[in-house]
Amino acid sequence: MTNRRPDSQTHRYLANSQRRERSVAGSTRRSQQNTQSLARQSMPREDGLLRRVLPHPTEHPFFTFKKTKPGFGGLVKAIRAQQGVDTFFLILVLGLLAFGLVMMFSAGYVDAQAHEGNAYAYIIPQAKNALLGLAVMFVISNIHPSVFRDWAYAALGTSFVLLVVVLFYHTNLGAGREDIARFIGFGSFTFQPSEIAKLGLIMFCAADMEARKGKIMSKITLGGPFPRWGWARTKAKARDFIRRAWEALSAIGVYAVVIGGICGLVYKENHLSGTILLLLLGAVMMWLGGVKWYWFLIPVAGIALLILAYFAGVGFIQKIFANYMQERVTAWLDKNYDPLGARWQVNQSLYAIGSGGLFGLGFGRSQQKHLYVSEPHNDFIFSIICEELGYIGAVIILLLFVFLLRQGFIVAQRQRGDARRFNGLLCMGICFQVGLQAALNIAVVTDTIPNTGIGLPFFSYGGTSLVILLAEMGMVLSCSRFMRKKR
Amino acid sequence: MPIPHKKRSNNAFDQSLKRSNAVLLVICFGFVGIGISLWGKSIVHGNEYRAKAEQNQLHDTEIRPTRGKIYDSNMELLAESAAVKAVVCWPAKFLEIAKEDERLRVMEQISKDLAPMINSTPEAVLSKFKLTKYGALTLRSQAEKPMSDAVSEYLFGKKATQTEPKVAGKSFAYTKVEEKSHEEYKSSFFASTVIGLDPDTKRYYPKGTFASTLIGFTGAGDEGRAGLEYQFNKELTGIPGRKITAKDAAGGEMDAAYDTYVDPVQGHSLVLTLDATIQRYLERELKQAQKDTQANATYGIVMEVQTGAILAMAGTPNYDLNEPFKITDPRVLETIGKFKTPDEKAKAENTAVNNMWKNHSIADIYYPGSVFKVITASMALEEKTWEMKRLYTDTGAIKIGGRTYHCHKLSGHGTQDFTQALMNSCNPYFVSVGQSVGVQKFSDYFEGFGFTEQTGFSPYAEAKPKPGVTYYPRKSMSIVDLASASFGQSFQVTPLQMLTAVNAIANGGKLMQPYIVARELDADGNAIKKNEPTLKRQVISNDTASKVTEMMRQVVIAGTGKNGYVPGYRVAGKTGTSQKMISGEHDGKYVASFVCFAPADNPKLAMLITIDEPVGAYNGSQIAAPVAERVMEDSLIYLNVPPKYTEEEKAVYFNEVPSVQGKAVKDAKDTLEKSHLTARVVGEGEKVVSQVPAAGEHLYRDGVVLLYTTKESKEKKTMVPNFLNKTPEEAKVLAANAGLNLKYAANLVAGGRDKPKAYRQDLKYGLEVAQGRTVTVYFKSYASDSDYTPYFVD
Repeated sequence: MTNRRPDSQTHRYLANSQRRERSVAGSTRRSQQNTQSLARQSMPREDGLLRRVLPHPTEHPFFTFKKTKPGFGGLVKAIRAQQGVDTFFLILVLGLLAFGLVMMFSAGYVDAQAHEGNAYAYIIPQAKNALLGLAVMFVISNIHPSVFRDWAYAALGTSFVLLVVVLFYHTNLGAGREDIARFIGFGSFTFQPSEIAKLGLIMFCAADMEARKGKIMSKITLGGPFPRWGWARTKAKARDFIRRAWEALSAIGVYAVVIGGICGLVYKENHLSGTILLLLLGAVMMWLGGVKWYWFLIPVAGIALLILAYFAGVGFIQKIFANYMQERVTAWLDKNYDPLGARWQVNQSLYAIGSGGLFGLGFGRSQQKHLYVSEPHNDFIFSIICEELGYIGAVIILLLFVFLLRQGFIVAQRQRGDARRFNGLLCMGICFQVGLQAALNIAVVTDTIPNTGIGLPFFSYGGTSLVILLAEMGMVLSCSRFMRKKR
Repeated sequence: MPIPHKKRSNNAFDQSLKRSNAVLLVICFGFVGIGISLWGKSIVHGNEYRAKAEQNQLHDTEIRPTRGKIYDSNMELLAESAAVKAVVCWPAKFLEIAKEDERLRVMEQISKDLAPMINSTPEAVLSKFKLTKYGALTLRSQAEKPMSDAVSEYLFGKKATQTEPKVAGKSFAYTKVEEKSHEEYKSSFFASTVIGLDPDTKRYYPKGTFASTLIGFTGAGDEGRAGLEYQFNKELTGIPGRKITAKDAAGGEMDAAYDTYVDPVQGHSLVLTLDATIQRYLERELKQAQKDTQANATYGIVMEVQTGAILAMAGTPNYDLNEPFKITDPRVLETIGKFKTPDEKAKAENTAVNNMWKNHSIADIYYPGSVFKVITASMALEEKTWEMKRLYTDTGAIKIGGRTYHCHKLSGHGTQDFTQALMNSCNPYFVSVGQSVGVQKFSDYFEGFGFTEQTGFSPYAEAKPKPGVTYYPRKSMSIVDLASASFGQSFQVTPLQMLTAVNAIANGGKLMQPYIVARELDADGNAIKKNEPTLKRQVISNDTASKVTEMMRQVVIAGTGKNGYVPGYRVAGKTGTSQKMISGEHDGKYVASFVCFAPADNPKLAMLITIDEPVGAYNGSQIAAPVAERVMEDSLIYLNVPPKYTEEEKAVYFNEVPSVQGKAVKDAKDTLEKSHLTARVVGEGEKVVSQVPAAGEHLYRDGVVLLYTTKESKEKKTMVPNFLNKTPEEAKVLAANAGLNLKYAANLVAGGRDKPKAYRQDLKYGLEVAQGRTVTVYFKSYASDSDYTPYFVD
């Protein structure tokens, strides 16, 4: 495929084939343990300086993947043959969901009564969506993870399309909120494309990083010993350096473009919290995918520059900042700022948390939910939980999330089989997303960070997000069928 | 050749694995940080936030108990409370708006909206809003329904009052606030958190000025401010309850499950011993006396002899309890009008108002003067230092300790016995009696009659006797002091003390504690406390008491108190005219008083009438006694005390009309003349066909009986003559000529040179009335021998 010199190619091929043999031997040993596993993918291995070769056409990851891909029937058989899903993870999911529904009703019925004229106006759709979500979770947990990989690019593409569509076709949220374009609605059904984009991004990153792992992880280093000085060797080394740098940069560039594109589109929705969440999610996916640490210096430097530019007084940056964030940041820093406006939500939330104390006022006995805390069923549900169940109840919820996160990571870390990198990245991405959302939400409610609009997973009101969340849980459960019981 | 484990682990998955642990660790640290932050918010700052939440949510309202009512002894309503609203604000809640300019803007907006509704100015309301250190302030108390409705509509909107909760049977009462713009929403929304309506009560006094100085009134918050309302404030108020309600952010009430109730204990109602009828008689007469004498003030007390219960207590000038700050006395208004600066005016007004509210009968002290002579007489008789028959010749003056005490009759009363001396109110005689008693005994009895202590009627309002100030204490009392004390001119007492002491004489020597509250009723009308009459002590023996009573009776029959005479009711009394002393000097002002009780053989009522600083005539006998006479007569008739006429009285006042029907006109005339009655023939007939009044009825002496000689003869009309300043004899002629029956309200048994003269008639001069009607004419004697007691002249 290239016009490289045949001799060197041959040499490299030979060198590579040696490694391949070794690698196959290792795989075989592993596959002896997992006799039921799917037909293995033979992957080229590359490590070490100067041993890197272009893959053989047949070894191209995408090609190889296609070749070894079984039919749908095979996949069903394969998954049926697997062990059951991880019980602890399933229990955590079901527990959080049940807890979330109960607390959502308790926190939200007053608001529902006041604004919808019916105390059950929030809980009934939410419960319906939870049932739907559980069905989706069950179905997805029975789908082979390789299907997710197959659909990863499609998911990303859909996300992009939806994010573009939402800019032009979105549900109007009412007076004063015209500039917010987050929801696409079909009749009474509305959903947030950014919710789908999160899953799309995770799936894409997992799949693509699996495919591109060599490039991502290639070290840009002069590497190796220098036995003797010589022009040819130096030239070869320089060429090699440039090639590796280009390889890594091009791979990372893909993620930068994808993540940047998604974040940009979400930012265009006037959805800053979503932007930040996606940015962090992308960054963590890249980190987990093995991107070298120094690549992260680029966005960090960029953000630092932005902040510097803001304080240095660059008008354009300041304008962007002022546009959306400034009031929230001011409200966060100045605790006495506009108590009837910008700080109302957070103040009332804090009053609720304080009212709860250690043991809480008792289930259903929140007083702050009586129209003091705005959206008590949504972003600020946690403050009502604190008020009703106290610090202890809040810590139990925090622990539930931590356990979910940990169990999800354990599922990821114990993946076996050749698809373990994709599965692992997928599980970790999903769990990290859930954990991050929970952490950000609670941090907002406790006035630890400025007010953003992130819901609490499993607890906050919202049909699409709950169904997508449970679908994600289904994916983790599906992957958990491929985990080693013990390390 | 197998790859060593270490080498194999160095693949892409293991790289992710390593890094995943780092991610997990970081996010777990994040959760720990959140947990710590949460600890700070819910535990460390928990109480602070909880307090703020409660400040938002909880509206603690006091449930005022209904103030008890006040009734007279016949359950006639004197005072009651009705529920109204008070417009209150909670200025401290404005501090929720941290920005000062923003806060001020909201304050201004609300005050501008609210002021016209509560009849106030925006400035006044704003100034209260600015007192943000106060939790609650009242903007308008006692707002009656239209005002409170307007405020309620402003605060909670029409929707809130109109729309019912959508879910029946549930206590949700939220209303959507949507039509208003953001700004409007903000300020009116805030108004409902800083302004509210509290239950309030307003006191209503159905009888206005009736017994005003006694009953008193309530001020803001229905707190008693004067009189019985103040004295029995605790009993009347009851114990307030509390309602702690949780309110949602829109001002609606949360579920009733959050409410905490503490039931109020309703105030007790007072049933007074006061008799509204007697009180009315007393007030009527005092008002007339005030008009006649142009006095500074008049006051009177009527006491039930056996119990010490106060049946009436009144004073003029008085005020309308419903408008306690309105000064009606033109003299006072004139005085205030003389002040130039507003400050002085306000000060004068304040003094005037406070003076107006005062119950002078118990709060003021005065020199009792000659009235006290009955006490001196009691001491002397009880201690047997003086005998009834003991004669003493008054030469017009007596010298004690280098000081000469003059009698009001400068020529002297001549030789008198004890009764005569009291009848004449002879000063030198009583100085001698006082000296015979001595300082120690005098002080004993002074104490015994209760002059050195409060009567116990109202501990807060009663003037407290102060030794050395209001009276001479035993140790420092000299015989000179004793001399003036024996005719009541060297110490000051309250009218009530004086009456209580005289009441002891009426009550056979038993000193009763005066009281006004007969019973306390709870909200359901059950008596929960009953005040029994309290016997303080037996001061003098029954025997002495009856002796003094007889002396006092003589005073009324023929002595200085003859204007207090009520035919058939055997009034015992004593007049008094004391000089007012300003720093030991007499300034030409007097207090005229008359104390009496009746009937003398079985006393029912004791009464003291005091007229302070009368203009013109100043003798108690002339101006106070007639007042007492009229009140006493009306009251005794009202109380169904049967009159008992002596033979002499019967002859003078009381004639039974004989039956002359069917007799010849001449015979009839003769028969009537024998019964001291005048006949007046109507018609030309020979025989009497009918007579008016009918046989068996009673007429006063020389009453007119109409004899109709023809059936068809019409009732004749006549004009009421003017009886003013006529003697009883002249009046008799006038009445007979007019064909009217005359009722003498006069002491016709006293005799003496001075004839009483008519000063009032109940039918107006010039009125056309039917013949045979009775006209009551009031007479009083303008005796030149008064009871006025010059203090001392050197």
